[in-house]
Amino acid sequence: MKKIELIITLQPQVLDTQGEALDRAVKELGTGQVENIRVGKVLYFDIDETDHKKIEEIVRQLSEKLFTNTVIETYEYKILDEETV
Amino acid sequence: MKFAVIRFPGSNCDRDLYNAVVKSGAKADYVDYRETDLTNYDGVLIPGGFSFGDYLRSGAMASVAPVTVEIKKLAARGKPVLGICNGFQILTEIGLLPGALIHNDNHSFVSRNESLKIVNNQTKYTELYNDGEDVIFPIAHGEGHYYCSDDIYDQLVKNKQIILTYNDNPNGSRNDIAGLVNEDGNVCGMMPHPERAIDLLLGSKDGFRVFESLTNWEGN
Amino acid sequence: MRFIEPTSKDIREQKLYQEMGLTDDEYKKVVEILSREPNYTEIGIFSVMWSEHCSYKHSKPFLKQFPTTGEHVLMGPGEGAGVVDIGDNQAVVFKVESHNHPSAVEPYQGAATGVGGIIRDIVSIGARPIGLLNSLRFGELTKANNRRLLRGVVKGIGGYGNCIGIPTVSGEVEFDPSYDGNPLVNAMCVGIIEHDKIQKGTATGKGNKVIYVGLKTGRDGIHGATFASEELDEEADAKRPSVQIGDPFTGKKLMEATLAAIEMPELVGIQDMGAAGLTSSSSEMAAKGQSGMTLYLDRVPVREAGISPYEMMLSETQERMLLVVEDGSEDKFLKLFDEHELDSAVIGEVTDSKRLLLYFLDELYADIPVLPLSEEAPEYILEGQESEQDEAREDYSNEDLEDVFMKLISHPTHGDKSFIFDQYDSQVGANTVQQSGFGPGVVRVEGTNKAISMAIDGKSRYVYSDPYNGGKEVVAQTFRNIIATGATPLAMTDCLNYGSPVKPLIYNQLSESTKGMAEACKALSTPVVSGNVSLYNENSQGSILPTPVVGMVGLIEDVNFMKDLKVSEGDVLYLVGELTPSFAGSQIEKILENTIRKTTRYIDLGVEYKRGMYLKEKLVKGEINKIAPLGRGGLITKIAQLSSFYQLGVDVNMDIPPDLLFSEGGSNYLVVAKGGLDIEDAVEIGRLVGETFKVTAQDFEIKKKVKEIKAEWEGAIPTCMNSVD
Repeated sequence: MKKIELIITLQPQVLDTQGEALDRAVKELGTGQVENIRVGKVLYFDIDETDHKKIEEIVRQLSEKLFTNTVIETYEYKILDEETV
Repeated sequence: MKFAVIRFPGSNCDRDLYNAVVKSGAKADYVDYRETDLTNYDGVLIPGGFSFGDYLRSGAMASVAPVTVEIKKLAARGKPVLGICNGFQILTEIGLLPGALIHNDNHSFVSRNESLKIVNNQTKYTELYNDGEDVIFPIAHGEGHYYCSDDIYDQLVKNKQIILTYNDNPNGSRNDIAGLVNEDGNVCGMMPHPERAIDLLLGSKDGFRVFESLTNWEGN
Repeated sequence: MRFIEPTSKDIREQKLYQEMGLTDDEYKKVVEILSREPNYTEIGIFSVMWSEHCSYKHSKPFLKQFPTTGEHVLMGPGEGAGVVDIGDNQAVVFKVESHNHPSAVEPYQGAATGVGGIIRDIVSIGARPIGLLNSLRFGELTKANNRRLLRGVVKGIGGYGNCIGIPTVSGEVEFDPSYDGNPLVNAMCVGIIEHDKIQKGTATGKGNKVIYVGLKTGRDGIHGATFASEELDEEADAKRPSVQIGDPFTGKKLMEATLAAIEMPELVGIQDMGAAGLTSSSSEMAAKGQSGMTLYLDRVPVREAGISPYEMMLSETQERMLLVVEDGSEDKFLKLFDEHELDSAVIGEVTDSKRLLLYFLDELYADIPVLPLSEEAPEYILEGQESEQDEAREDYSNEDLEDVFMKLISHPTHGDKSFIFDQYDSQVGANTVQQSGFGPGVVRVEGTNKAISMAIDGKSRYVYSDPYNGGKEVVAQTFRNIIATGATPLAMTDCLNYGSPVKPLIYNQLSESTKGMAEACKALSTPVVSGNVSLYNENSQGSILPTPVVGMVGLIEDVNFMKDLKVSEGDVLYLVGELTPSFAGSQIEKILENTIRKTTRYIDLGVEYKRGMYLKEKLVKGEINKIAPLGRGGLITKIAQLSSFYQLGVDVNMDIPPDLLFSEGGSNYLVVAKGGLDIEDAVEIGRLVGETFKVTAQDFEIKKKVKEIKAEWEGAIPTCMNSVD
């Protein structure tokens, strides 16, 4: 059993209106050093596999079929306590 | 003509859509999203609402529901498939229409009577309208910004797939796109609600012709 | 398994009941009722059932004044919502409820769960909801915190209502410093039912089964009364109470499943699990059925392990219902809920013991006689104290009235509210004839020519100024809104939002205003069929203004006349009624003096009723095109709102002292119609014409482009919301 952290973000060319709004809010707070905020989603789930290849296959399949919309989103995942795949 | 009005958990414009298409003279049934056979139907209507709560992403979970396989088959046979609002989002999620719907630019839900323009009356969905005609349909959505890449946009223009545009863009949609059809012209998605514009008492009757066209689909 | 909890001795010695809101005397009464000391679960149950919210212990005497019966009333207060006949075997079901404190803590979820709760009240009667309304109060939008609260509350109302698919068709909002940090969020729901489908929240029939359906129970909204457990339990962290979270998707499934369950003849009773869900639903159903109930709490679907009976009984997890069904039919119901993809379980049975028994596995956690729990709840009659009267000010003619006018129309209270209502789906269901914008909501009864008119209103500054007459005016103003749609007012619901009743001045506001409201209900033939009380609305500067809010419904027999109603250029404006100096509690008084004088306000309920019904008839017959009751800001504000909304110029000339344009007396209307009509108590004051807004009175003229007025009116809320501190 492994715990997975899957991070979904909008593809870089897609306008992230939420991120832009946050950018403005952060500037209004007077923090000028912060910019390019992008807002995403994180999914955590347990997966009953240990083999990295199999994990990758399952995560990829689910991500492309359901978790993300590949027209606008992109994803990456981590097997927690291990390196980013 | 007999239409399947698909009901997902969380659909909430199903009754409105059913009433509209029946009023125009067609037959219709409510069909559960777990249904695996649509061969008895001449067309599919996917209503607005919040299928599966629109959790994760609008239309995402509906796109993997059993009935979508059947909807795709029907579409491939050239039958009419119309998705309104959440139905449009579902049609892009399952790949029957290009592009995607993302959050309105101001990140607020918007509900109002919207002035729209019929920009192509050479489709089966819009043939009863004049080209360039202004119509009023209500809109009600939080994720209605139509997004597509430049390549797809060029394709849409080249194939004359864009049928409906906003006169006063409420959500940031690319080039004011409010509704479009697939290349074959039988699959249509739009964010505005023609089914809420079929009675002058409620403010507008402009949407009724969409349903009249659907009812006469085979006669034309 | 035994849950580690404070013992009966701890409760007594450390007076733990006090932190749950019970007094020493109330604790003694509990001991008396049980003939022993209560344990932790039991005292928790008493504390919620004897809270103001469930027992109305400070407000009961006032609520008793309200007329609750009438020709059309099928079911009055006491159930989830009131039911009123609309003919053809159909009835309208409605109620308003507050969610003020949760909205102050977490505006989005507070408002969303408020909407969800009131919807479940309507659905539990067996009705399909057709419209939502809301009455909101915030501090001024010049403060960032109030803007945050407005933004969150509006998103929350929309987030729930839009998703569940019930149109939000009307509402009202006021911004006033007294609501700083203590916003009021009152939500109302209206539904339609057939007479023979009306359900009651009752548990009868020994051996009948109790079914739980909906979201799994978590530790949501349990009061911070988990104090002692932190010393007793290593897992104290996991026991932190959390904000209630609304789930409109599950709410939608639960609504559809409940409406399907109501079609089954084996259903005995049903009740929403609202505040302190399992406690109030189980004990109230048993009390109403004059029976008892035994629950096996280990069977309750839970979100996480280790939730104690105490926590289960006090949890405010949303989207849950409790049903009593005939013995032997339970599988049929469980199957129905399974089809709707909802969690459900048989968690107990009805008994004839008149006791509420709670088991977890084999252990008994509570044994409480049902009737005393609800019937012997304490009632308090306190001493009120009348405020000292101020001297009235009757003349504002020397003020800079043009400046006052511009400030009024650009204030969020009077300006365009589309920032708010554009975020609500007002048309889902395709029966909305009239929605927010300029007037109350009108929703067609599907498949008929009938329509239900629904309005909500509150006028707290008038109530503060003169509680007794102000109370009358709140009812009268809502009545005016209903007749303005051509509907016959049927009945009303009320939400009483006040400060702490322990303060004599507040107690006096409560007693005097409800007395006035009750008189108005009688005079206007609008009995009270449901309601809710929210006390202790206090903030750092003191109490909120006394804010009784009235929701009213009316019936339109044939809505098709509305097709022909049109306001257009060339129409004549009439003032119906008389403008007299009535400035106590007015907006001009607020803007110029930032005060509310406590002086007598005048209203004649006889005139009110007669005039209202007369105008209504004229509208239905098509003789007049629009009725706009005068309200906050007086005649000139109403003219400006009308002109901006329809984008039409006005030319109004009046031979009166100019300050009367701002006066806020009762029973007055602005009416739009063709010229030369003979309307009782009315004078022609001008016309809708051109592109200029022009209003004159004695030694006074305002002349501006409509465009300019409209820009101020439209920008009132957006300008504030876009500002940065």
